[in-house]
Amino acid sequence: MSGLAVCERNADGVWTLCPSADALSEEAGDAAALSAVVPAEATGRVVIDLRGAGALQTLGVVLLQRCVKTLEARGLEVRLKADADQGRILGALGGVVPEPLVADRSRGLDRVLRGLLSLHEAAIESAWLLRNTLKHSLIQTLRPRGRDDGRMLSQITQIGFDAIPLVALISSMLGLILALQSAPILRMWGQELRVADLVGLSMCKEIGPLLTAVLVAGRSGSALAAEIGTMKLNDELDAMTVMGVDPVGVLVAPRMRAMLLALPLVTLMGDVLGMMGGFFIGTTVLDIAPQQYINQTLEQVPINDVFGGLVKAALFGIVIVTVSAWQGFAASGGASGVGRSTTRSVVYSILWIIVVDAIYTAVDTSLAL
Amino acid sequence: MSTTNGTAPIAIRTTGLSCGYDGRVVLQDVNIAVPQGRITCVLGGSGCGKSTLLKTLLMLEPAMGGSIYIGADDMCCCDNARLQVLRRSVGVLFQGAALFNSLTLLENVAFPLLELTELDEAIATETARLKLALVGLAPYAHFLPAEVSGGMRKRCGIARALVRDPAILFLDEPGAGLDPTTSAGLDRMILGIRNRLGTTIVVVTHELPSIHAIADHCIMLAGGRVIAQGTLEQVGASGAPGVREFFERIPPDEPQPTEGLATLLLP
Repeated sequence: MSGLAVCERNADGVWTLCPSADALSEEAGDAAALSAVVPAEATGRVVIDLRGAGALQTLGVVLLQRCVKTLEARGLEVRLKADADQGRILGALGGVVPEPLVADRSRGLDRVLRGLLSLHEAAIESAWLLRNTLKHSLIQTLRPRGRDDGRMLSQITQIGFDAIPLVALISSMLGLILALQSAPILRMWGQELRVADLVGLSMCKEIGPLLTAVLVAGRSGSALAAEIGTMKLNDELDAMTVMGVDPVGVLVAPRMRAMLLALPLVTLMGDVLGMMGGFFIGTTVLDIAPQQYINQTLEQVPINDVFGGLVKAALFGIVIVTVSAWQGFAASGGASGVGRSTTRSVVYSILWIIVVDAIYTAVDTSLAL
Repeated sequence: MSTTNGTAPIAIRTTGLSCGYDGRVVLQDVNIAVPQGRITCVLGGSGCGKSTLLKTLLMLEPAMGGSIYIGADDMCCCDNARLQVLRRSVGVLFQGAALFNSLTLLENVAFPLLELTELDEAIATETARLKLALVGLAPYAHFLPAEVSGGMRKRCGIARALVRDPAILFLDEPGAGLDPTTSAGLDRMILGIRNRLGTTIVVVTHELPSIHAIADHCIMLAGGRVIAQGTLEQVGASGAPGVREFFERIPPDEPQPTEGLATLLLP
């Protein structure tokens, strides 16, 4: 810093600190180093002579404020000497900034209590939304209108048809993987043919519905949350409400109807393609005769289990639409808020899909026992 | 220009109304009367609660206390079915126009008709075309909201608000973000709607040229209360603190730095 500032004592015993332009610049400015140029033996008054420091800018003023504070803390009386322009800038920017107000944010126990309260509110809100959506869906089904059916058809395209390539690819790959993973163990017991049971049952009862629902939650649930969230921020939902149009009927119910139709169908396709993956491994790697594999599958995978999987898919569809719409309606706080809602819609959908799956399986199993 | 309220019947009246969000009161003890068939401007600086009042009058936010009467009905006490009926007598232009982005201007205007009535689609579309022509947007019927200017979106918003011939039209800052010429065009349109259709219009605004051009009646808000209401002249002459500052554009005193580096300067 010695090159950036000089500190000398004049005949009256007053210390004068002369910073250069660089000492207050973005490149070399350092308030601590600047105040350290004033020697420790200095007492009484210190004058900071800015006249050699060139034009002052905001950073220079901030550095000076820090330097003055440090020197005053050392018991020195600081004064400034500046030219007219520098004086003007010091007057405009060198004021004491008032302390910011403390934002009232809850912490600790209060925060936990608020969290529980909002959990309670969320439960009520989503239950209300589900009821309202089912009501509108039922009305739209019983009293069909061209517009509602048009919206439903376009949603069937988006939720169902557009998801086919992805679901087909992943389901058939999973069928292949299941068969390959189980083949060595089954071969050890001489039960290669059981690959057909294993792939068929696990695809139809569990993996097919679950996998398809997770993929659809990622594709269509997030789109629903983002659309509703954006519409909310643009006052479009309020516009509908004041017209007397229930946004749930226009935005959510057509998706619910489309989901209840499309998700079980896409799931069924996924089941079949998964079994075809198993068939491919069974007939090529395990040398099972094609007809034998098909017969084994038809014998060991009861139609009830396939149907149960499709019921589960429909339940997952209800979960996806309800959770995603609820997140969309709850969006707040601009673009980042819509992003948060979209992410949450997928995470919460998957969470609730698993919960519903567990409950369904528990009930189903206890009925069977 | 301004007229005296005289004996005009009252379209909307509030008594002891309090409004706000999340338990925080923004406006209290609001007692206002909106004369029928006139243009009422709700005035006040930014953040004074104009939009909150509008949202409460539209029942988008529940009132925290008091009553809102449209005709003889208290909106705060009536059931959902009655509220839906009352809402049909109301049209709203939101600040950003709030058009549905995936629909064309024509579909936007026809939307309330198609959703809420059993009208034939051809009739609904024809009615929507008529309203679009009323706001000078007939040639742009098949454009999407993103393909037209901000002023056109506002005009389309007004056409949509007018499509079911509401008795009361609410406009939230119609001139905000528009150039002076477009804004003046909107003002002329608002006057035309009052004169030709006899609609009661409530305009939330803080744009002085608009206020001078269209206001029959004014309600001025400041400090969480209604500080003056009446004709523009009555409000201007009310002497309430804040009124003169608003109309003469007198800014609040800027805080002057009293301490700091400048006090250390040697002469």
